[in-house]
Amino acid sequence: MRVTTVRRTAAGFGLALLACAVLVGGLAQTRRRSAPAEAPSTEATPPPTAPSGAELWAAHCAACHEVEELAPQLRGERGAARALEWIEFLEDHGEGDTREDRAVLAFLAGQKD
Amino acid sequence: MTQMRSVAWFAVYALAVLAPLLVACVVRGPSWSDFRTGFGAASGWLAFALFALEFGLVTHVRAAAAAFGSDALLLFHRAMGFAALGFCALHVLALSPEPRSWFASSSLQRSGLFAVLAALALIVTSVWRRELRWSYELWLVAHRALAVALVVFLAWHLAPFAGEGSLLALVATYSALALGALLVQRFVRPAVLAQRAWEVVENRDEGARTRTLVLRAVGHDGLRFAPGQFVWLATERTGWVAQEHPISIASSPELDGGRTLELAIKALGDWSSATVPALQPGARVRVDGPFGAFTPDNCAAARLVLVAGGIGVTPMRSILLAMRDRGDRRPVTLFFAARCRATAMFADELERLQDELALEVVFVFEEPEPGERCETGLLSAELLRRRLPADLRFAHVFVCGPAPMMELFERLAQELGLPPAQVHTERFDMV
Repeated sequence: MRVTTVRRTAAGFGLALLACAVLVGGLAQTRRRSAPAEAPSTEATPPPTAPSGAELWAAHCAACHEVEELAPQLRGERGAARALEWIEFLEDHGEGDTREDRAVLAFLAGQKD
Repeated sequence: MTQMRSVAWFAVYALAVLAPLLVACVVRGPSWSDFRTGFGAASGWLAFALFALEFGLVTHVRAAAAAFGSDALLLFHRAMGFAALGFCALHVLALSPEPRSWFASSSLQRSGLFAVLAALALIVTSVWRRELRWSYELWLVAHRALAVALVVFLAWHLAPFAGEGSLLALVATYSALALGALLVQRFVRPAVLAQRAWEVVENRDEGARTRTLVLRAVGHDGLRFAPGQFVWLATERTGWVAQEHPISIASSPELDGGRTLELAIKALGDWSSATVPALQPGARVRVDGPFGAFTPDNCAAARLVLVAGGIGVTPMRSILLAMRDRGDRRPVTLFFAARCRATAMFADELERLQDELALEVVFVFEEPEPGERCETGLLSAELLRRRLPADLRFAHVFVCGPAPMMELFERLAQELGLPPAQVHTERFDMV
């Protein structure tokens, strides 16, 4: 089989796989957009409570991280220092605001051994 | 038929690459909350599948090698290695774009970092082996070790996401198959082949730094092969490295009913320069094969054109001797490029074959002797256009030689309008 044939096959296959990954990402984004929007609060309707750290963790972090993996790092002597580092890190990681980032950290820090 | 087999094998491969992603979409998909997470996760699963299946592309599976050619599989293996690394990079950029996080102390980050480093080391040492001045043997050991490490790190990295059930089973299966393929090739197959030993009968100096090993089957009925195919030849172990190299068969398949093989080996590295010349009659070697799709037995050609450079003449010799032994009178033109006649192994024998076959031999020497009957210089497009038969409609062309020569001919074949199915190539300097 010619080199050009192999290279074209490999390139075409690679692009097809890339298209699959983009498709999966697109479907995930579509699922997010079609999630029911929150109803605007009025005087008659109490405002929704802010999501808890546990809820934020489940919605945005649990897909890639385990509690048992991260929580122990917030204990002990370096725990406080590490929490400050992570607050700074979370500004660029994920899409939460500072209040939500702190809620997630508080959730992790409150985990028992 | 060969094309159908190729398509079938490729379909199986493509499904195997996509299967982990499809299962992950079902099991983990609902937790992918946006484009970046979905795309990043998908890229990661594709990278895992591509890396795991790399083992399968280079295992000595004769059926796959016959469908594509072993050199094509190796080329594809390299291309998929780059593709896997690319998807790895997309995965990291999508899910963990902050470089600080790559060195975090979580097991997820650690395993991911180690996997990426192993993959980079695999690719760098393969692409730049010669620049790093690594011997082939050292590279092979390092390549296998890094590949095992990569699979282990990937399984470690994926375990938290696989959870329990189908996805975990898939990760475990792919990892086990990858490592199993390596174990079979490295330990099981050699043990089986040791039962079918070959003995060195003669170790002949052909000049041009080339030796011909004449091997005879010990206690078995030899090898059934097609002219142009190759075998993996394993000599004794030196240290803890088993010396196994791909060598084209130089003899006719009709020789002694396949119980005698002739392998022509040029001194190109430590093994071929030191180990091979030292093999004495009576020494036992291991032969695994035959492999390869580089044979006219698979095609219905009215005419053959053989283009050889240097040691690339070895499979051509097998093809021509087979034609002689079978009484095959199809017209054949052999272009044989070498520095000079002294470095053109089997030159006298090839000239004599012109009396026994409908064969024209065109020698192309860079430094011919005065009065030498040959073309002068390098194999060029102009020379080939001038000396190729006018009617190539029913001709099949077989090309084997150094990479620049192969690339020249592939470009020329396109210019001449030769269909890809009529051009067969065999590269021997893949790593």
